[in-house]
Amino acid sequence: MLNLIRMNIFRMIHSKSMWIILASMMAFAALNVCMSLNEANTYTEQDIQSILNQQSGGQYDIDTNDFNFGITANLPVSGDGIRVSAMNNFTTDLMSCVVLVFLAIASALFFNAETKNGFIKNIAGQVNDRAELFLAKAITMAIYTFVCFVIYFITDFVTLSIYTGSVAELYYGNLGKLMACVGIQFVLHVTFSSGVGLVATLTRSSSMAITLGLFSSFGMGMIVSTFVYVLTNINITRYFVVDNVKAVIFNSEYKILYGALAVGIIYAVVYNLAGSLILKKRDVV
Amino acid sequence: MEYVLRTSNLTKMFSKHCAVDNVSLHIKRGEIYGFIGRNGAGKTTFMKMISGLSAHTAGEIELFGEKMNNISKYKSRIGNLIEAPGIYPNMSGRSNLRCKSLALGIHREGYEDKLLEMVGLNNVGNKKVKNYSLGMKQRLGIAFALVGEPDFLILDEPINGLDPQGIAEIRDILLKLKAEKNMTILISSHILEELSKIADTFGIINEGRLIQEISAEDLMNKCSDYIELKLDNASRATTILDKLGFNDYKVTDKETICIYDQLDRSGELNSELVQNGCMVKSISVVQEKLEDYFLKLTGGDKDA
Repeated sequence: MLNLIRMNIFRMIHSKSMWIILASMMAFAALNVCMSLNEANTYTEQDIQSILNQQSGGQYDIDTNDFNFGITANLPVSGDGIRVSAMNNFTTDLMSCVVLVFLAIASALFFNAETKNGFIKNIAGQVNDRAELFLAKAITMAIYTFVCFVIYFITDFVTLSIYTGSVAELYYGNLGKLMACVGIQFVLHVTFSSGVGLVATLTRSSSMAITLGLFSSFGMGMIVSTFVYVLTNINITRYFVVDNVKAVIFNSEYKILYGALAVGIIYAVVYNLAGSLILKKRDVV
Repeated sequence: MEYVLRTSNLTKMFSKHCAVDNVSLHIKRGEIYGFIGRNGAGKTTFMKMISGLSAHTAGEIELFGEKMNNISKYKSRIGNLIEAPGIYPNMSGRSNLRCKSLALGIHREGYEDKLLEMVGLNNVGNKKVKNYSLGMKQRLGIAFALVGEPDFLILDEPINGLDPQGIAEIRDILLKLKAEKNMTILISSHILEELSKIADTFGIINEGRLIQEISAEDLMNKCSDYIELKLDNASRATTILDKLGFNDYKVTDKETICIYDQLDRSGELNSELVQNGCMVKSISVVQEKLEDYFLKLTGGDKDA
């Protein structure tokens, strides 16, 4: 397993597309900070209250939240209004699924690459357990996700510092909760990556996996859960990975954080078991 | 006798289609086994099953004397090149090899360079694979199969699309591996005459069934000599052949007859034909080509 992870890291480092995705994400992060800070100057009291509601309540409540398809990134607000800090801003960007969009593309390409070019034929017959092929990729993507988080945070910090002309504040509020929020977002993002990998493995199609990954990042799950809610009056939003990503922020209630963590772990287990089983049982073509 | 591979009634079904049908094949240690079959005969499916890339529907596989279920410790002793080599086109040949070495836990300095040298790619190791020619890619594919110094090499059509020089180079590599490392090699190819230059044993597969397993010596004996007769009118000559008691012959075109029996009577035959007014353009004893024997065996000559 360790050998396969080493191999995957090696090919990830040598893959141009993974670097392009990382660079695009950095550019987007910088642009996002600048645009948000520009827009923040035009915020009214009502806008701030609306953002505050969304931040504290997440998107679990179908009745009260407006549904937005796509990415909506806002600056974090505290009770006093807009307050810019790198870590808090980073968590609101995670909540807006910006990183998820880039991960969807990276995961689909990475998981499907060796099937697409046939490299898998070189190694599948020689590993002791073919299930490890999927798990190794999932772990490598977890490392990539970690790198994405670090780079996104650094980009946020640097851009904020440049934009404001002074060293940006690192964080405000409860640091423990902030770290818990980032940790849970990490679990959810890694789980999402495994989910996209599962689709890529199952369909052997990167484009299919990217499309599904992007649609779910943009909030496709909300359409499904609204539909289910209308029919059954049951709110299933809290059981989707992406909707939990949209719910977890630095000032979320612990109930939301624990729920999101549970969803992340359960889906991660299911996705990785299913992916491993497919690679183990299916013929390599 | 020590066998590296033994299959017993190996079968692979794709829904209702039987791609490999009860194949019982035997490969001895240190030999080069030529696997012959037409397109779609089941060669690649068979090779995928023994490489562990595909599950078999029925039958048994015994590798290095162990049943397939218990061969996890022997898996790294098998190297394979199935169909086109699977490579990352944007990476160099060396990096591609490094990928496989890492997957197998090999961390030796200069290991990839040795492999590249072995297949004659040492000068282009840093070149991106997408800029390689077909022959270079095939050679890289063989280098892939050699990672981990396998004892058993499975090569599916490794000389496909190569020019004569490329074919000769691959042939030399395989013969060298056999001689120096006592490697057992299973190789399939459409170029039968080439295969006949290196293989010790042949397995002929047709429509999923192994129709013959034969040593190179026996095969050469079976690829029998015959009289090739070229004359102005083949159909007129058949009456004379019948009169002279030649029974096993075939009219291949309007000017050519191939006679498979009584080869020692070629002189008498020539004079009889001339006396009966047939103009003999040429008469010679030639050896049947492996390709013709294969076509005869698989019924391909009837399709022609």
